[in-house]
Amino acid sequence: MTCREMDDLILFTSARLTSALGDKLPAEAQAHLATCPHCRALLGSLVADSAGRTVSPAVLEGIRKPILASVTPVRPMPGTAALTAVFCLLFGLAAAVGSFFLGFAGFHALSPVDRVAVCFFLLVLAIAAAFAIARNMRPAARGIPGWLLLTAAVLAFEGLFFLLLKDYSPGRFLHSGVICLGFGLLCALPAALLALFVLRKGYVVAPVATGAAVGVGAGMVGLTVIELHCPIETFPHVAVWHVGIFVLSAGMGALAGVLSRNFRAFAPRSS
Amino acid sequence: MSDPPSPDPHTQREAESLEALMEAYQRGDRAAADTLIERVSPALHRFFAAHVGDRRHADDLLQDAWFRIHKARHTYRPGERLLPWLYAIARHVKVDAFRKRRSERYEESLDATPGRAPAVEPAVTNGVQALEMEQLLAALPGSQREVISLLKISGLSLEEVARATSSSVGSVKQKAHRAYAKLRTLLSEAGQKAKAKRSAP
Repeated sequence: MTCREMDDLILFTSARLTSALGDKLPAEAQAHLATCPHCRALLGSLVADSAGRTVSPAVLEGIRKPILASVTPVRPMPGTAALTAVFCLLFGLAAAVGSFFLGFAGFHALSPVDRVAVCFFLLVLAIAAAFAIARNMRPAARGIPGWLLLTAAVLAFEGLFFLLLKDYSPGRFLHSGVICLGFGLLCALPAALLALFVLRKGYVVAPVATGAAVGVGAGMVGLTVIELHCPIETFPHVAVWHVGIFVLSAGMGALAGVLSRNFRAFAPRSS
Repeated sequence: MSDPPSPDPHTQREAESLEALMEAYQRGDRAAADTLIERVSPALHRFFAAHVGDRRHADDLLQDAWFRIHKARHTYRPGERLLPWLYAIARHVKVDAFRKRRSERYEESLDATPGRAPAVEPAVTNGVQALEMEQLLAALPGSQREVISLLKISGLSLEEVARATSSSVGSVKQKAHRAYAKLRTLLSEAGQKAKAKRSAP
């Protein structure tokens, strides 16, 4: 047996290892331990520590007293599917209100096939963003990393618009673009605020990833409203300014996550 | 004939799984919360001590972690493993504390106080076995230290460590292997130093 194989054994043996030095180790491992002082020392240190230490009674009392005094029944948070549905509903609501005020000129400018394709991508990515936010509300629930979500969204939409839009003329690129970006972000803001309201019910351990996911989700709302409203169907305009809505929104979400993380780290200890 | 005396509720609780205790805690059962605090705190304390190398600071972090666990107890999903959930919160407390400490140290360094002793000095007075796990871990990079303390001090499985640290099982394995190699080197160096000390006149 080699030291590397011994590492594997240590890795997969019962974590506490209290009985690992006894007869439970395979004969090969015991033979290796008899000849390898390094592995013996490593295992010895792990076993010695696993014997455990106690926490001072005063510290335990300091924890028990306030906690036991405030133990009340709580309802476990709904599952990921239910929370995903809630976020989808909020995003849908925000997009409907935004579109109601801005109108549907862009939607009428698209062909039926384009409409189906754009709506399908918007729906899938909004659900993915809602799922990522819902997962991030629960500690130790593996979610979708914010950067992965953003990359997937950018690639999906750039690819889609490249395939659908055949007009490459710049037009009034900057002027009309800034207006679309501004209105898109304005529509994303209420969606982000609604998502934050629900997010507060959970416990977020990855604020930056969660912020980025909220940004992508809210950005999808902004993009939906602008896609439905804006009649400019040129590739440069849509690829830069429309897609830019959720890129910028995700960036602002991640920045908000950084600020919230720093605020929590420097806030006085909870008691 | 009289009924046999009913067992002490605290003793009864000892036999329950951590998950069952947590579910009872969510239902507002104080005794379950009490038992949970008693059973989980030593492992959480060792997890913090392995990272901060200072028992008093570990005490503070343990307290902070329990307050956050209490606030976030509704986010535990009944039926799921409790330890990854607990350690995800504990890890979050540790990261916040690290951030705070780093900022404080930066401010201290601006004051330029020379001659500060290193945080951890390996004690090899009684040879290899005298090396405490915390001292050994202090020599590892943060991510490897975290994986080893969760696997071997806190007793989580590979899958649980991956969930608690939001990483993959493969990444956890790789970090553990690197850490073992480094620990072996450290232990061997410590052993040689101890041998040299003993043989010196």
